Amino acid sequence: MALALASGCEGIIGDGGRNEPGTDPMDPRFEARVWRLSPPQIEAEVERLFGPEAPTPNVPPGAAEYGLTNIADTALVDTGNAGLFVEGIRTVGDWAAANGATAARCDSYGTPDCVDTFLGWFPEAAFRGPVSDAERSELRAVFDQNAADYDYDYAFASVVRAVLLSPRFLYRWELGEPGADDAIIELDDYEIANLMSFSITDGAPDDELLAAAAGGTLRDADVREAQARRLMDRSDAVWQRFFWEWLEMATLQAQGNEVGLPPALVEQMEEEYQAFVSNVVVERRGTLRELLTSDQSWARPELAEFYGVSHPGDGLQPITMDASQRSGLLTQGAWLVAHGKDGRANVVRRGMAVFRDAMCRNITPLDIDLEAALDELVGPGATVREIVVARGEDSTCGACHRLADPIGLAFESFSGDGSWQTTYAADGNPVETHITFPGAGEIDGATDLSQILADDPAFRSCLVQRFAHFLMGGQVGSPEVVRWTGEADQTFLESGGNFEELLVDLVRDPAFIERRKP
Amino acid sequence: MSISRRDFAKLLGAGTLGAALAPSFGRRVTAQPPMGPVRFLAIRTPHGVDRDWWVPKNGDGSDPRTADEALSGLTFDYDMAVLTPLMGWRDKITILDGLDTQCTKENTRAGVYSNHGHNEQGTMLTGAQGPSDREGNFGDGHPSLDFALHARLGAPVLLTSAVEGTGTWKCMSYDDAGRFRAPQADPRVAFRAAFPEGFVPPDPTEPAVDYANGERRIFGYDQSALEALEGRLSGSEADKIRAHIDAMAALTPEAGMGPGGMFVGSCTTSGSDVPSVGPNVGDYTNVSTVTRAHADVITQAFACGRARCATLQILNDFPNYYTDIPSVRDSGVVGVFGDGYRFHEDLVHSYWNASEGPTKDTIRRGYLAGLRWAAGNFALVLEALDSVVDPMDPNGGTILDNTIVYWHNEFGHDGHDNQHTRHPVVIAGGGGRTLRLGRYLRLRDIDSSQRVPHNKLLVSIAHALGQTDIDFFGDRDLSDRAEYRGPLEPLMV
Repeated sequence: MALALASGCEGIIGDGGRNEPGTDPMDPRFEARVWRLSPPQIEAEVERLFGPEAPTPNVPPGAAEYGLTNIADTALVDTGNAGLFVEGIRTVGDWAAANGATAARCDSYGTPDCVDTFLGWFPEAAFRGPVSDAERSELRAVFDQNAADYDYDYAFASVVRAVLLSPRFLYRWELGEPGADDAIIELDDYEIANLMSFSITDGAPDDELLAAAAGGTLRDADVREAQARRLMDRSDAVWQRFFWEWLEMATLQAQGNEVGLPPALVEQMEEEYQAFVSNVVVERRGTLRELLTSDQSWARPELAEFYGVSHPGDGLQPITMDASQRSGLLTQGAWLVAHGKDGRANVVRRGMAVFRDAMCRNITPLDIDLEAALDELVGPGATVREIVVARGEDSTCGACHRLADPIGLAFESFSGDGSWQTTYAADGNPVETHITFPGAGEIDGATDLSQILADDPAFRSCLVQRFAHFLMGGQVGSPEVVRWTGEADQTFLESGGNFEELLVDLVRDPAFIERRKP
Repeated sequence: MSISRRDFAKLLGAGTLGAALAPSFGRRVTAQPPMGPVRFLAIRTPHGVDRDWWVPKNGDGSDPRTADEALSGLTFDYDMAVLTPLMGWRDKITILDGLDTQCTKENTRAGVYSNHGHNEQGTMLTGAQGPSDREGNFGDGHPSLDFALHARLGAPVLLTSAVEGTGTWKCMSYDDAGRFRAPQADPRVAFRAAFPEGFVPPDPTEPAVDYANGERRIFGYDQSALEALEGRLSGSEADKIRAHIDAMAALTPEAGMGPGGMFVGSCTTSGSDVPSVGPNVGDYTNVSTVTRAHADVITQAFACGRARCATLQILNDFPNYYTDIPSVRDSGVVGVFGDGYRFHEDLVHSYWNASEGPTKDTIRRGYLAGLRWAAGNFALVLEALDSVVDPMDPNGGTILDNTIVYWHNEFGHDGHDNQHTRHPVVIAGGGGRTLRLGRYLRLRDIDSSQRVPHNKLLVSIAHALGQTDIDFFGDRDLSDRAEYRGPLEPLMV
């Protein structure tokens, strides 16, 4: 049992505590900053510049916050990883030299003209904004000197490497116009284009967005809204990553191993999760309720068989779940396995995964021998419900468990490997899933719980808070205390939980494009 | 396939090659070094060990008679010995008896974690107390020893590996700001970090070309851009770019610091030599295979100048992985706890709570079998390091001979009570430099309240790698305490 809990469960993560600097309810704007591209973004950028044959720089992510991996404060190039950037980009430079004409987009690789052609497009494309003549001259000097001392290939690779190691490539800038002295600065149009594009699509601005930047229109909220709605069509990867990280799904493979599932089936569970998110959020422009309660999903035959439902044929296909057992994201195999466990710890793990991760409740784990404490509390032969009751009544553990365990109990119809169960394999006792949910009364099982969570203010506001954190790469704050997320939460509610409307509201806000000078 | 040394230098970077050989950055390599460059590998295993089971014994089963004895006259071949798999390595290891992770007990200021528990992983290489919530940020604002040494020694890559996935506070490595850096669980990915896809070993018959000036032009272009950017920032954002500038500066070759005079000709690893570890990385039944694969990657990276510092976690404290280890199952513990027994809770904790008798004996056997199995995995690492002749050692030593290996177990004392005293520590490799090998070293009166902070061992390791200006490594609040400063004298040559 990995989670016995101390008191202090009433707080909301992000309401202003340790590790959450700068969240000002009245002024949620970030300080002027730079934000290093994430590994997938760098990979996509190299592919955009050189095509799919170019090698992938193997660079590391920054440290996560609440499971969110693309965080501006922690995305660093420093002692521990600078070598990986240098080496990864060296492979790109070597590949470019070995594929000269293709990489340079010229017919005369090996000549000065080809270098001119290359410098005519490459820096601007890589820097995602205008490049001055002086900058181009500097790069030309790198080429000329290295060509004189060594050879053309090395010199060509040198230019590629210099550009891809430049802070103009590696970072998104949010600094405003140079020289501005105001306490509050507005991002320039290219910075806004980059922020919007990378945050919504994980990729660089397309021609239409760059044209809007060149036209100087992106400081207009209506223009940003129109662009955001357009970019939603290419936002699959971002929404998939958000729901993966927010709900702490990184444990899926390890837990799948621990409960003995075939790796291929675990992969299919991940595939289903991602396909479902993409369909609900992007293709159908759907809502939180659909995400949590839809009985439609996507699976391959093996996974459909695992669920005990029919499958139309080969490959990934739409399936209909047995609505009495499964509906929505939290009843799919991926979530159940990622937060499952062999033995009797499912209640705690799944309860905490919802209560702590998805409802933003602040919890501090106790450092005690938890199984020993449990045995002392109820003895080794207690039923799951007896454990839940006893733990909730305990003066130490109960502070958090009396709130979280009932949520976990609702998922007890699913064993650690995500399969349906009516009795426990270990002792033959019947599974009990009826619980009392605060404000909703008596409910029975995960499908009932999913319906309740779709309307639950804490669940919804946590999603909004985490999505803002994810979108901006930093802590914005709880909707209960911060204007920006508070207004987004209200919009999200009034739209019926529509994800596109949530995104648009955040992007329209002045705080999206304004920064404070420290 | 092979390519010219010139191309090899291009792939590798002249500066990083030079750095891989130089005792520290800024010194030009002009003559053969007396041995290969010293590398550092930290290894960690979980669950804690009873000190009485891992110290070497005399033939009659008694403890070593003195505080400083040759291991050759002692044995690990006794009934309850954990380190039996290391019998054949006695001349290349030293056993430290009585080392304490004392910093966790100091309670120097509010907000630090000053209790016992499963926080040793963050303390092992930082020498610092963790934050009270133990989540992620180590909070003391300084790097772990592997980061610190990597910054000073220079090499393309710092390798941080684990046999299973880890997160939040289950890390050994912390960056310059004290943030954790998760290790890589898949040896294939770790390999790719060290060896780019196009990497090919050099042809020793080709003359080398010094690319230092060319590399400096590339780095110079970017350093100028970074400095201009830094000038537009302030506070933590400026610090972020300053860290970037400093890290790049450490990788920038000194003028004229080419690959001449180096012994890289015997690096034989290509970028296509990706380890084959099967599909079960992260599966607890595959630990030994994955451990050996990681060890081979580290060995190859050390041999080819791709890294000088590495860490390897052989499992975490959770989950309770030993369920499928045959020697543990065969101990009889299944009969006591059932088929789904948990190693840590059922064996480690319950052992100490059980009354003397047959059941306790059975649990003891299971506990010991798991620990001995872990020692066997450590021996696999030594085998890997010792299997490759160091291409940069003119004396023909192996990579192990030129590596300081520091193996730390989660708990000392009795293991069961999560205490950070009497930590089991084994130092391996690197003999003939500055650390003594083949010794049993009792650092203090074991039954006394005296403590020997492991911070001193971190300083010793730094000295072994030539960083003799480091006199303290650890929690800033302990830096003026004499007992935390300086190296472990009995360990030093």
